[in-house]
Amino acid sequence: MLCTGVAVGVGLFFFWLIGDIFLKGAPGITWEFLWDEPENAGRKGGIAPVLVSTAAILLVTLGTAVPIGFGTAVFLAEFSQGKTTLGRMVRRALDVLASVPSIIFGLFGNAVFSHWMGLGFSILSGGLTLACMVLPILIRTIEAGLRAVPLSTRLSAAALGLSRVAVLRDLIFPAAVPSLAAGLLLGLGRALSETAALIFTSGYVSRMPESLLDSGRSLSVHIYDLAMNVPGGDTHAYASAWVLIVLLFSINGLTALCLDHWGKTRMRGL
Amino acid sequence: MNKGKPKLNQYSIETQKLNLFYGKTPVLKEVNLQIKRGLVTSIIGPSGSGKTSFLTVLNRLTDLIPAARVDGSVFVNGENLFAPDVDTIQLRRRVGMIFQKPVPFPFSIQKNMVLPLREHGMKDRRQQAERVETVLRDVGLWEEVKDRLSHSAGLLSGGQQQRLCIARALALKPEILLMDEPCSALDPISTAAIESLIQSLKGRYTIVIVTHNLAQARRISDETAFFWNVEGIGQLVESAPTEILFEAPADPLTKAYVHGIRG
Amino acid sequence: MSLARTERMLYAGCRLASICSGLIVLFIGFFLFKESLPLLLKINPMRFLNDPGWHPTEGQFGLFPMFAGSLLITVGAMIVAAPLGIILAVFCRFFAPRKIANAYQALLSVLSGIPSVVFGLWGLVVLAPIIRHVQPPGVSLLAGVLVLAVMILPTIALSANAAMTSVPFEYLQGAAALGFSKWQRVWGVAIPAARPGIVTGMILGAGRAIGETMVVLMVCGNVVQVPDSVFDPVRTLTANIALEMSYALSDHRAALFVSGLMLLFVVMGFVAISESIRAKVIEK
Repeated sequence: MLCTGVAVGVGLFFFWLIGDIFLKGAPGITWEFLWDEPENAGRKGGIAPVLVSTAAILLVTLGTAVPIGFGTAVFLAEFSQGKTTLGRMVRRALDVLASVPSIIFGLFGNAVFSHWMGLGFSILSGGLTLACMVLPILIRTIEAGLRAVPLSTRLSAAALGLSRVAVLRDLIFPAAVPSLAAGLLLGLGRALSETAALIFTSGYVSRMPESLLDSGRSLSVHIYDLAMNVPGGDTHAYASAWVLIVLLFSINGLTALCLDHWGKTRMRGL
Repeated sequence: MNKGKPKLNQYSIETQKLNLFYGKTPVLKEVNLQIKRGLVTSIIGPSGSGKTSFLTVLNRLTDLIPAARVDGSVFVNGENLFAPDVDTIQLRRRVGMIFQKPVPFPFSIQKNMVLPLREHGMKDRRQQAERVETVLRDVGLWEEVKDRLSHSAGLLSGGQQQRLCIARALALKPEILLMDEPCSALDPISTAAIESLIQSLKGRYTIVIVTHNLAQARRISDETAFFWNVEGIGQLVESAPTEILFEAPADPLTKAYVHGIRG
Repeated sequence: MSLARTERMLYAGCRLASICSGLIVLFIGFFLFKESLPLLLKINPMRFLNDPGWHPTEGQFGLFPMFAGSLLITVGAMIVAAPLGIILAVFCRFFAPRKIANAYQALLSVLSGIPSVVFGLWGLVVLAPIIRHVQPPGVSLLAGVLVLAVMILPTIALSANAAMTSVPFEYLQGAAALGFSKWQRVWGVAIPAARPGIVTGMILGAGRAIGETMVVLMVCGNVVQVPDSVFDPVRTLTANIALEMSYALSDHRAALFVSGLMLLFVVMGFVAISESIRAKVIEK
């Protein structure tokens, strides 16, 4: 059968790709690899500064995107409810933002954060650029969680004379926690996978960063650099890809758990 | 209570030429109804006759429906409900509402009871505990739940959930209780429990109950108002003491309705 | 009173946040344009297509080979991925047992979450040498097309599957009652009925392909030329930006922003088309 054949073919291909990364990457994973500084342009040594830079970039990203994203989601779901002009315009703008290619975010981040704001090639520039990039997915997930609180709950809360602030704080926000976590993790995964937007915003210096204004090389940029620019860097590129994939799979697993939990609380019919 | 407010007459709620629109669609037309203090008034009528909509006007839940517009006047305890200085939060504390489907909040029984109290300024834990016990006893739920106040309210049965919701509303010491078909989602035993609860609340609260069930209206209410759907718009046909409305209605439509359903 | 103030503050804060989020996309357009403007004012915009070569430091700004590269890669990836994606969706929806279909969809969504740099690594280290055996140099248009096709396959398959799932069951039942075979039901009823959703998914995939940077940067060879065969290396608009941005100055930098602007317009065009298809479906 044609369909089954194609499905099996694509499936095998998929396992080939994943298997390739896992098999070639796994032997390179040692404590030294995770703890040491890279040597000889990354052919030897480890990825400790890269991991630190990656974590710092992600912190900046989420630290900026979460408050703005949460506020926007609350505005869209609770205050505007799709009926105000501002709400409609913001939603439209976010839909467009979601489809902007990552290299464009790179150009934008380079122009605004690195040059215009004078942050140069730094962890801060890269993190802020990624924050712009992950906002749409973050907002969409949180908004869906807020909207999932049923109208009957809102009405009976109002009928008890609860103020809007109380309804938000005591009923809606707690109910939206799993979706907030899911949105956060989705954004984290997206940011962790990103390379093109970082090459010329956070740069590719592989030293241990000392502040957020230092350039820092993310894990994905490290893989790119080893594979493309460092002859003989394949082994460590594979090991780094292994680390990246394992991180991403863990994040996906956690996201699924959150959404599962969210589904269950909703199902309890409250 | 309410010193310095206009003198209270025998009516808890009075509507005059009340019209309600959703967008441009009229839902209620010219409803003039007086609801007596301390009695149980039931509202009967076919689906689409605006019974539930009428109820939501009385505590201004219509405010939450963006396209809803009210004109005419409604007086609650002699005060104009739609006067500009009305504090809807205080209003809704005084006019409680129970919905068709019980809506416990997704946390413990205890927190369900305490949250509205705290919001209305009762911070003292002992006071809170006393009030919670009193109203849970009032609705006959105390013995059933006193050992598991920290359990999720969602684990209670449908009838228990509905009684919890009534207790939650009573805890705020409302003057008026609006009930929108509170038994329609419940089994006969829970229904009987709620009905006897309503009987026991009579005199202390003014109760307005929407019901599909004519037998229920006869059993529990002192007054009955009959709504009818005229070309899609809800109108009040007749209101009278329950006995009279069922035995000797003035309007032929009422007669047809109460007899027709009785068979 | 203080309660009302808290509510007002909450409202103001949320409103401010949404204005910020909404403005980002405008800022992106604005800054891209601002950085491009010096060059756009200086030379005739047609020169970006007509100049004989790409030597930005010597005043030659011919982006045509990169434009062709982006287009060829995207079209090629679509030719490979679209039929495969539809076949996979049909497999999941009509031929696979429930459990296998669910597992397969999970597999596809895992595949869609793999970062493009990992695809690039695989393409560079595994696929390109295989192609080199057939015809050097290996890093080529073909390599880019194949890796990108795998990358956008999940997007197309999952949205086609969603579209077919939403075809009313009655249609299929009706077709079965008319004595259609399963094959006829799928190709004659389900796919035509799901076409708007399938097309939207394909456009989304194409948008992703043309905007993709890492894969093409790593496996396409990055030679500025209009390729003669699928085995020739090419450079795309995105790869061009990624390669040169870190050292480009003045006019060169502005030229890269111009190419970014072009890319943005193309992607927005894709979005507009898929939106109008969706709007038409909703109208019906």
